[in-house]
Amino acid sequence: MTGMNRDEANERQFRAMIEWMPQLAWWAKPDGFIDYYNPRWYEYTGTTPADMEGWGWQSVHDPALLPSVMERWQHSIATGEPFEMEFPLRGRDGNFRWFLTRVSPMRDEAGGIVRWIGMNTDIDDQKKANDLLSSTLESMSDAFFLLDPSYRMVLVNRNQERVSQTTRAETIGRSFWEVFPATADPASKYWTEYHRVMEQRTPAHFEEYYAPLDVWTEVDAFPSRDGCIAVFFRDISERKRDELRRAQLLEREREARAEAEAANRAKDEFLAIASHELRTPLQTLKLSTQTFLRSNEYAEDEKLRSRLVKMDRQADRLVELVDSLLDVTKLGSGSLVLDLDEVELVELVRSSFARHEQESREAGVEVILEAPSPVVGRWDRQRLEQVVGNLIGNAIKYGEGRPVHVSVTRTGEFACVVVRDEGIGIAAEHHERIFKRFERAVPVTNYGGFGVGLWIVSRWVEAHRGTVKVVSTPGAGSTFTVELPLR
Amino acid sequence: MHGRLLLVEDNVDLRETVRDLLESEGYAVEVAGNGAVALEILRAGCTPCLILLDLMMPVMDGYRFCLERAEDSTLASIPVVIFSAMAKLDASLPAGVEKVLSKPVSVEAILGTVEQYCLA
Repeated sequence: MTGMNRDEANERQFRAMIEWMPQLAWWAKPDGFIDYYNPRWYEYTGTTPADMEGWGWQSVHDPALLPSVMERWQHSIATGEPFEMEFPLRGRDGNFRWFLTRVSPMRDEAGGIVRWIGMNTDIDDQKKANDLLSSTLESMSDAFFLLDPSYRMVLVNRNQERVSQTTRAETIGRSFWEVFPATADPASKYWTEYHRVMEQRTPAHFEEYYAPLDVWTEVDAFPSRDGCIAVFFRDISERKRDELRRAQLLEREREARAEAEAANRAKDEFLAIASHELRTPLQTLKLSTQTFLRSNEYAEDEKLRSRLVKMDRQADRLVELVDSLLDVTKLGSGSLVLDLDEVELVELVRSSFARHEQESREAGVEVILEAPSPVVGRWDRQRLEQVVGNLIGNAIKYGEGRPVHVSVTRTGEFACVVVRDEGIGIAAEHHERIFKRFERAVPVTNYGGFGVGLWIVSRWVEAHRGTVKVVSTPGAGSTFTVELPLR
Repeated sequence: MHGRLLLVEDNVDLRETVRDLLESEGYAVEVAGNGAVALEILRAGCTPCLILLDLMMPVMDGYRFCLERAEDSTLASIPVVIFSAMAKLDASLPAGVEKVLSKPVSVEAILGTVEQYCLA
């Protein structure tokens, strides 16, 4: 060694290094008295060596934070422990910037502290970015965490702490699967989706139930540029429970409807079979009475013949009732097929009069037809006979012995049949209802029937693309008007 | 000249009433209570001018009878008129059926139909 010992050479090298390093740097005696600052320090703080010597550095600190800095520094001096702290230092422009300050002791061979080497690294930009990030994260309504490529939790916000009922101290740096073991399950969407985002680098959106906390979460996970994934999620338990309740309600409603439909089908089926079963004995009855009436054997016996005629008529009435039973099922199931033919409406109404002759005579009702000229259209004869028959039958039934007027006219492309009685009438609140199935405006104890007559009328009129309307005043009678397109 | 016809009907009262009616009009009437008996009668050599066929019957119903008849060339040419209340319920009628008498029908309707096939 030439003129300098080894320690002196080291010292010079060290001093040169510190002198030119980009951080603010200094050293202090073992008791904390600072006797050297590098040029960067003076350059940043705008101070002079005379200002700074010893404890002069306190003048560039924030007075509010100085006591805690002092306390920590004194502690290091007393114990020899390295010092590390973040605090702001005032620059020459008067503005503070944040620095990370580390101070390490240099020791001699015996372990005694020779001096302290201090370094202040400007972390202001980083700190501001972090502050911005954390204030952003904290102001989000979502819970947030960031997973590194090995699924370690590197960043969380307060909502994450709140929803997951963990603190950041417990979670940061630990594996997500370890912190939330229930998610480390290939059947869990958390497991499959986070792996997918991590491996395929595509975003994910999903909803998943987290059983340990009885919480439903809605999650958005995004791959970030540094190989991490950013996860945003929210507690949707309330919404989920509502949805579940709604789904259950809907399911119950669906079941009830299916049950009602099945019951309805069963009823229609029963009516169809019943009407079929009733037909065969009626056929026997009718054929028997008609055969009797045809034979010459009893031609002279007027009394017997009149009884047979009554039997035959009542058998016809039974057939009509059975037909309306079947109609109820047919019209209710919606399969209305018309058998169209050329029909003269006035003639059809006249033959309906004839069928109601006995009935009107017994009720003492005079049925009067006004039909200036024939009205011809393409209709289903049998169905129109039913329509007209039901209306005339009702007019006689509810007519209170007063005349029933029926008119058949043609207006443009429409045929119009009006049946008017002067009987009991129908209260306004029943006008709509009477056209519905099984509805009646009067008590069944006074007026019999199935309660389907007007429903059958309206269904067949609708099938012909016509309309049926009622105008009525209780006690003054009813007027039913049927309009049918001629086609 | 009045012909012979085959009446296939399971309701005994109705069967006898129709038979009385047709016989009083001068027709010869064979009767069967179901499709199987009807096939037996036909295969024993009876060749009626008309088969009046109910649809709903025990043992062999009218639909099944029509299928069997269609497969037997000697029977396929005999006209069949359905005499049933089913026709009102169901639009799909068996193949090879000439006409439908939907129960209940009048005496005139039965006689009119039978005349078409059995009055030579």
